[in-house]
Amino acid sequence: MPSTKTENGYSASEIKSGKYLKVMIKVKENIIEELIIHGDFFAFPEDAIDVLEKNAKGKTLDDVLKFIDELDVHLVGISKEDLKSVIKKAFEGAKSL
Amino acid sequence: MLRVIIDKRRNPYFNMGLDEALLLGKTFTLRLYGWEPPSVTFGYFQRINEFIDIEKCEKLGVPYTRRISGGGAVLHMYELTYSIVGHKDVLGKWPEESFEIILEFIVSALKNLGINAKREGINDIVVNNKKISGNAQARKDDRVLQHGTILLDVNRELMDLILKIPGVKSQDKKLKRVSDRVTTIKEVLGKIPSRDVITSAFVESAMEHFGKIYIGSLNENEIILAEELANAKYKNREWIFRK
Repeated sequence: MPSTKTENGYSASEIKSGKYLKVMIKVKENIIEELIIHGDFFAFPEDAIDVLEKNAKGKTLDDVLKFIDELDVHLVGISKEDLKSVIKKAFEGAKSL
Repeated sequence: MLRVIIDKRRNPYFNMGLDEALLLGKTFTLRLYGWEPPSVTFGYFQRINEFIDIEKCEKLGVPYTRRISGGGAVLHMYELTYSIVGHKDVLGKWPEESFEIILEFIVSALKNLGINAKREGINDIVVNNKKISGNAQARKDDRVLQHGTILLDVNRELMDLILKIPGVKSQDKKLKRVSDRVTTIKEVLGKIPSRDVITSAFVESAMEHFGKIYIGSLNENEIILAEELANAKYKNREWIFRK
């Protein structure tokens, strides 16, 4: 299960599933201001993660979860489900900030 | 035919620049190389201060850069490093297939040295449950680059000073130190075989797995591109600190 904590104004959530994955998020009134996804997993093409992060700005959680479903990316060491659950957890944590 | 390059120890910027230059090229190449000075590279997706103590790197004069491949952070010191590039039809149409094909080649090479190694997880090779080799992959269009380390020896103090374990991983593996996780050829065999012996083991395995080989060298264009990438990208703080 992803754990949550706050870090420098971000809500952070991490998971170890094969590889390590951590998400940091800033949320204002249910809109994502910033999303950082990092870890020691693999993703092909690698810029798919960059695209996901950029695209998340100004979006809702549901927008981002849908974007992940449709994103053309081959993940190794983590899954799309891992990504979604960690982002969800971080987003929920952000509500208390 | 597989071109095998017995390369020398280079700085991290040129090493990564060269691996990328080879990926961008059209050759089928295996490069065996090393690092001078001891250096750190970390994965494309890693956040810089989570896995590495940058302050310590700066203080100790250990250069560091971000790879184009994913995976984790590595202190490159007493190791044999390989990179292999080629078409996905030979090196694997999917990332998992590539890891399988190329790690089999490495496991074989280690067997040729009398080391009973096996794959663990996606991209590690272990001996007696300790990691002796870490590997990472990048892909571009139809081509694959995989590079990895084989530890000859280790400076555990330096490794533990520089590499950090974020909270989850240390709980997961019940580790106190990063270096507890690793083993080396020296530890397993009681000695480090000569460079020639090690090179032969890898060349033999390359022939078993990839067919005919020839010992070749880098061409001028590859060196020029590697230098361009080293200067414009791998030395560039914007690239290194992008995350």
